[in-house]
Parts: sequence; C-alpha cells; structure tokens
Amino acid sequence: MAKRYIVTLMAANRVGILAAVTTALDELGSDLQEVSQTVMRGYFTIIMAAEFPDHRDAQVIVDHIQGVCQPYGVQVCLKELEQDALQDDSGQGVERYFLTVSGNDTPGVIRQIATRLEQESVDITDLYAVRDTDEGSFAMVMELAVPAGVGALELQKELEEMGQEFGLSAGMQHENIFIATHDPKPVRLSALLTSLETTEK
Amino acid sequence: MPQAEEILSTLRMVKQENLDVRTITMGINLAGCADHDPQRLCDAIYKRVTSAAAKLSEVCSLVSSRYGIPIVNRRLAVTPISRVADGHSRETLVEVAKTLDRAAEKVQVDLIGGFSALVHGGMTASGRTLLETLPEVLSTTDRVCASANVASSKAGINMDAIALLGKIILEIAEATADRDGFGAAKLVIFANAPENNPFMAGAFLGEGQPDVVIHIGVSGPGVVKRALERLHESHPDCQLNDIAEEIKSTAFRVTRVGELVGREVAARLGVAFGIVDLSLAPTPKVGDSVGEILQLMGIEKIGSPGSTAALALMNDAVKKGGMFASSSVGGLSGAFIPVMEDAALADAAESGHLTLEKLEAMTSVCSVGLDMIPLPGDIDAATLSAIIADEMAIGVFNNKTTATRLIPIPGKKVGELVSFGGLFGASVVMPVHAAGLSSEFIRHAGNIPAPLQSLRN
Repeated sequence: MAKRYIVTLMAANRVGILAAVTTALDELGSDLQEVSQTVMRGYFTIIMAAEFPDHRDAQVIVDHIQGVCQPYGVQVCLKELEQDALQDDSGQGVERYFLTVSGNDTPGVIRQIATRLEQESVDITDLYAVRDTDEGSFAMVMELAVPAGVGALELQKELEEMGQEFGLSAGMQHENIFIATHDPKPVRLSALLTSLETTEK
Repeated sequence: MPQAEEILSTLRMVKQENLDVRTITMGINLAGCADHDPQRLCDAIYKRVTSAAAKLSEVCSLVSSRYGIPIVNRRLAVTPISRVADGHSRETLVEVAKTLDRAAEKVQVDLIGGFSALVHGGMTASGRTLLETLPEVLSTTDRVCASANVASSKAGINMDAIALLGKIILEIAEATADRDGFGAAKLVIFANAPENNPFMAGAFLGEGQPDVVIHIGVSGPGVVKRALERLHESHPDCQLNDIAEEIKSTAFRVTRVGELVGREVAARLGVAFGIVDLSLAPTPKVGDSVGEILQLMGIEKIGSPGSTAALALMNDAVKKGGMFASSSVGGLSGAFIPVMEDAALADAAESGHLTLEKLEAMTSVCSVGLDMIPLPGDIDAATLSAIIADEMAIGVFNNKTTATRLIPIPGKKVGELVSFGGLFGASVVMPVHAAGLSSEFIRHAGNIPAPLQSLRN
C-alpha cells in the first residue's frame, strides 16, 4: 500500500530547482501523480500529488527534499491526502464564470468579494491578480464555480455594484465567451441550457 | 483557466474596441396571415408578430448580461409583404405597413424589415402596387423598412422595375422632404438579395426559411482597427498578407461571439438558429469605421488608387475568418461602405477624394453596394435608375449580392451637409458624374437577360 501526500515547495526561482526536487523524489522512491507550478515575481512555487512507499516517514520526506534542494533555500510543506474531507470539485451542476475587477488599488476588496462568494457557496477555483504599486492600479481575474440554482445574474449585479463601491470596475461573464474568442474548439451551450430548451418546448 | 491575458483581451475588445452584437434579427413567417379581408389580414399579422417576438427583448437582455456583450439592436424581418398581401389594394398595403409599425413598437424593436417585393423575373401586380405605396409608407411609419429584389444572376435585371423605382425614390424623398428625404434611407434595392440578411434596411424573411428564426449580425470594425494598430506597432515592416491574416484572425473571434450569443438566444426562445452575418458594419462613432481600416492599410485618402484592392483584401479576410468560426455564416458577410454611416468615408466624400464612380468600383469587391449615398435633390429619375442598373449589373454578372440605398436630398446641392443623426450619420451631398444623360437608356426598359453563368443545370 502506498502513502499519498500533497507536497508544496517555494523558493526564489533559479535554474535547476525542478531537477533537484525530482531527484529528491526519485531517491525517496516516489511516484508523481499530478503537478502544477507557477513563477511569480521571481519566486517559484510547485504543488504535487505523489505516492510514496508505505514505510516512508513524513519527516524523512521533508528533510530529504530540503537537503537535496539546500542550494535553493526551499521551504517544503507536506500534507497527507485526506480523501473524505475533500470538497466535490467534479464540476457537476456548476457553471463557470469569470469575475474581473480592475481599477485603483483599494485594500479589502478581495476579502469582501471572497466572503460574499462563500455565502453563495460559489467556489473560487482559480485566481490571478496583480497590483502595480507605482501606478496604484490593480487587476484581478477569478474563476468561479457557480452552483446551479444560484441566481448568477443577481450575483453578477451585486458583485459589479460592490466593485463600484470600492471605485473599481467589476464584471462577471460566463466562461463560454472567453472560450469562444480564444479557442477554435466548438463551444457547447451548457447542459443547464439544453435542459431549459426541452422544458420550454 | 484560460490565460488571464486572454480574458483581459476579450474584455478589452468589448469595453474599448466596440465589439458588440450589432443586431439580433428575428425572422417571422407571415404567409399564413394571408386573408381576403383587410381587417383580418392586419389582425393576423399583428397577432403573429407580437406573439412570436414577445420574449425577444427580455431574452436578449439576459444573454447580453450573461456574456457581457452588448446587443445593440433587436429587429424583425418578415415574409415579403407583396406576397402576404397579394391581391390587396394600395390602401390595405399602407394599413399593413402601419400594423407592422405598431407591432414592432409593442415588442420593443426599432426596425421591422420585409415590406418588400421580389420582382427579379418580372413584377406581379402586387409587387408593383407595393412599390407604388412606398412614398406614403416610408413617410408615415417609423420602423418599417422596405426592399425590392430587382435582379438576379438567374433571372437577369428587371429594367421595368428599375425605371419605376427611379421615380418612386424621388417621390419618397419628396414625401419626407421635411426630414431631408430620410424615407429613402429605409429602402434598399437588391440584386441577388440574401434570404437571411439580418441587417436593415434590406432584411426580409426569404423563401425556404423556418417559421421563426434568429439571425445574428455581428460587427467590429473597431476591433479590427485596433488589431491592425497593434500589428503595426509590433511589426512595422508587416506586409499586406500579414494584414490579411490579422484581419482574418480578428474576424474569427468576432464571429464566434455572434454565434455563441445567437445560438443561446435561439435556444432560450425555443426557435431555430439561422446564420451569423459577419459584416464590418460601421457606425458614425469615431473608431467604429471601415474607412479608418483602409487608412491603416496605407490608403491615405479613401477613394484614391489602391482603395479597391485594399477593400478586396479586407472583405475577403473577413469572410475567411467568419467561415472558420461558424458553420452557419450567411447574410451579407463582408465589409460595408455606407458613406453617411462611416465618419472616414463621409470625410473623404467631403474632400472630394471619394466619388460615386470610385464607390461603384469598390462595390464589386465588397458585400453591400452603393449604401447611404446622399445625392442632389434635383437629380432626375432616369439617372437614379441608371445608377441602380449599373450596380445591379455588377451583382448579376459577378454572381454576388449588390444593392443601392440612394437618398436624393430635397433642396440640397453638391457639397451641402445633410445629417440624419444617430446611427444614420451625416455627409455632404455627393455629385454624379455625367448626370442627366441616361433617359433614352432607361426609356427602353424591359429586362437585361440573365448572363451566361446562369445556365447551370
């Protein structure tokens, strides 16, 4: 039986970090399941799901990775994969929207929006934000999973008004419009819509 | 998630570059309303239009919000009225027009097209009657748009109809003299009219279309212009084929927006989805001009040599991008050059660089024709007819759609400004070279036979 962990790593980005990490994991006898990495403002961060041999101790894993990556000064974090406690990210019965907020840098806006979204059980599945401290400007894109039954149009109006209160321009659109304009693949109207078709007829 | 940059660029196209769905046009079949009794005819038409389009406005608002894409106009296009009201008198036809006007107002659409006659093979009595009611109809209704298909590559050119229309257009202008002849801006004369065109004033529901259908018109000259500006910034040495690629790629994105919005509106209304018409249709707003795109391609003064070639490149690139984006591209789909509705074209007309004769050449490579052209109020009917005949010939003999929307401006001469305001724009009155010399030609009337290419059995 193998043990599964989620491993995260953060360090100033330098050539060779990934090679070092994967060397360490190899030496630990681990098997990578899924990986995602990002570089932002010169910092490298990676999140991995990996299977380790059963006898491998958690502290040993952390120490070994940290040791092999010594030259890079990495910070390693380990979490055991808890199957039951995870929320359902299967995307069933949700529609994806993108919320964009931009304008003059105003503290507290992300928090306020995130809180409101939590109240509606809307999951923020991805996020990109950048603040230009010189210009004092701010742009953010949030990917939202909006459950069926949540009034997306009302939520949209509310969030747009919320943005305005902060002096920002906010907009929320269904993902189809972004897929349509940037990806040549055929755009399927959502399942919710096809069910609407059949009930209205 | 799609790259954040892609998301922001789509939003930029909408917010800053005037990307929008120019029109959602619902086609409604009125053939079943035909009735010998004028009152029953009008009642049936009113009922059919208002029930079919009852939810159009509401659904358009919803879909527009969902995708953050403005839907600028909602319009209707009906079965050509000369067919629906066949056998009726002039008075009844005028009543029908007023009924259409009221119905359009009830469902909150700004224009209703289809007060039309298809006479390319010869005029029916009803077709002739309809054309003769146009001065009254177009001066006493607000939302009704009219059209006549007077030529086709299969049937040839109906010169009888064209001779008649030269006179009628003058009458329409006279009847709306208090509004600078605006009535004539609501009439389009076609060769090879499309059955599924969503744009006004020439939209009507052609034969072979479903009972209710949604056709979309997207536009985006502003988006194309900005894309070309960015191309020139990043590649100052770009060549014409690079420009063609950029236009094509932008046209793809714009068409995809139209198709998505259109299919969803149709699905929510429970009606058929027809076509996407991807036309670069300018508005008088600065930055929303087809002429400005020509200028970006290096045509300093529109109308100077190179204008036709540049327009041909643009028109074709637009069609190619559209074709990949959607399997249901139709209508006019190409570049429009309506003089009054395009600030840069109107400017070129004022400076004298753009002439009617050059416009005629340009129509051979783009999708509409001599559109929104203000002409001297004292032009003679035969010259008007002859201009129409020339434009029809370009369409018929080249197997393409061409059209004319010529507006004689009562009381105004060459160089004088006329302004219709709003989407209809403004321009100076344009001169006609060698006018007044076509009477004998038009007097012959009859028809110009269909060309060689028509024998395709």
